[in-house]
Amino acid sequence: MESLILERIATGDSAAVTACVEQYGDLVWSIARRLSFSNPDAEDATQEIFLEIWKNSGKYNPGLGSEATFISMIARRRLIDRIRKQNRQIQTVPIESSQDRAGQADKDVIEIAEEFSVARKCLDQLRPSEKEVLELSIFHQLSQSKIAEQLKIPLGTVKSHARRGMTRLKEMLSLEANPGNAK
Amino acid sequence: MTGDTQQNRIDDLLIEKAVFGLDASQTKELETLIANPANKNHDAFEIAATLVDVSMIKMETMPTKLKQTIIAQGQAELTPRSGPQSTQRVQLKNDHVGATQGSSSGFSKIREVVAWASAIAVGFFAFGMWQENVKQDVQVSKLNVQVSKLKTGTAGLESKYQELSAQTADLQVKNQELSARATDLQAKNQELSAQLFPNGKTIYDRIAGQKGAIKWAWSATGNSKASGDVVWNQAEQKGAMRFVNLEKNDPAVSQYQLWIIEESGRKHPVDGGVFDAQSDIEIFIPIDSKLFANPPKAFAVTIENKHGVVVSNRENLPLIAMASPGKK
Repeated sequence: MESLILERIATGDSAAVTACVEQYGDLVWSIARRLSFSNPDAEDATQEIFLEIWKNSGKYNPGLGSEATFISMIARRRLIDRIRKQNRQIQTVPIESSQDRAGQADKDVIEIAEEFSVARKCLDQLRPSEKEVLELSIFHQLSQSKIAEQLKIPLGTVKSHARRGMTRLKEMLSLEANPGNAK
Repeated sequence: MTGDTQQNRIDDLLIEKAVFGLDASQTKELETLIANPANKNHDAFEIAATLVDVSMIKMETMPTKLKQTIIAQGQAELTPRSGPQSTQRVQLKNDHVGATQGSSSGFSKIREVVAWASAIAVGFFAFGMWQENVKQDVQVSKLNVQVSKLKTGTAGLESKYQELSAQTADLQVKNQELSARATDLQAKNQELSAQLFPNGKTIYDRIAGQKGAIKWAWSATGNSKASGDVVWNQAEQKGAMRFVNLEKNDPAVSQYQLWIIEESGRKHPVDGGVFDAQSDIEIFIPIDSKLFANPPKAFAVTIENKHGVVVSNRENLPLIAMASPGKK
């Protein structure tokens, strides 16, 4: 059986570096583009994320999710840290195209790992109010108070929608990812 | 805090971390709570948030230049891992020398001197070997860097080549699509033009083939050698004329004008429009009647001044077409 890319990197296999960038480069770049203020900012962030991937490759545990999930989590953490350090509000729409931009990829993210497709379905199964709060917070990076203001609901309600939604998501994801656990 | 209450608080903080982010005091509180090994699976909410977040992103292609930079950085990052092994190897050799030194104690002076001399010789030998190893390691590292650079370069070129090939193929397909679309649009344009601005031949062919339409031959008068016929659909109020050998006119001076002579109704013939004869072989002219014409008994062509006249004095009438006796 072929070794996982991250395992190969952890053992110092430099050929796995190319494989990793080829396999997950577009994914990391797409996350970085969404959570960055400009293209140069996204490029810096992408380089930082990959350095972190090389350093943390040995911590990857296949039992907790796919390599794509692990890499996405590293990317998202790093990008959210960068946003907080810059103390700025991220744009809710993607950065406009620029000359450096290579273009939109032909593939959908759900083709990279099955979990993404499952997550999308699970999100659709949430109550509309929970889904709305989670989309605004997770995808659009809005604070609780901004969400309360935008949806004209109390802050406590935002918190409870987020909590219920996340708890249900966690349950649904583990059920769908491991059908054996459903019993 | 009871176990359940503590777990609830941890969940609250983990959810907030995954969804909204934590401030410094919350981060500290969470770190304290999860320090307890019993509180496991800290990443579950963050994984859920990541999956939901990433599932909604629009995929984009990483710029090739950035890809190459990251690959080069990654390979450089992995290369130093061979460093400590070399150091360790050298260290082990020195330890071995140390052990040899230790075993010499307790022997006679001569043997001690011999042993010391041997130890020094071994030391020199080991030092020489160590220097040689270091040189070799440096050489290997340099070669590794060169190999990495070459690999990166080749990968970059291959990727660029693939990208360009894909772009070329894509452009070819798009070009074909656009050509097909242009041809299609051209055909549609012609079709629409024919519908909106039908030429004389189209009208002539259409009406000539209609049941109940009039088709009368021209009779030349005077010196005219022209021939041909006229077709007319009374219900549609449309028609066209065909001429052969109709003498060319000078549009700046004079023009031909058609007249529809009604069977009954108006005192004067109806103006059927002015036209020019630019070819004396065969021409088709649509009839452009300005008024509703009653059923005709004849069509006449006169030569009038430029732009025609409202009522013709019929002084110059080269052609006339009318129903043959007993034929309509």
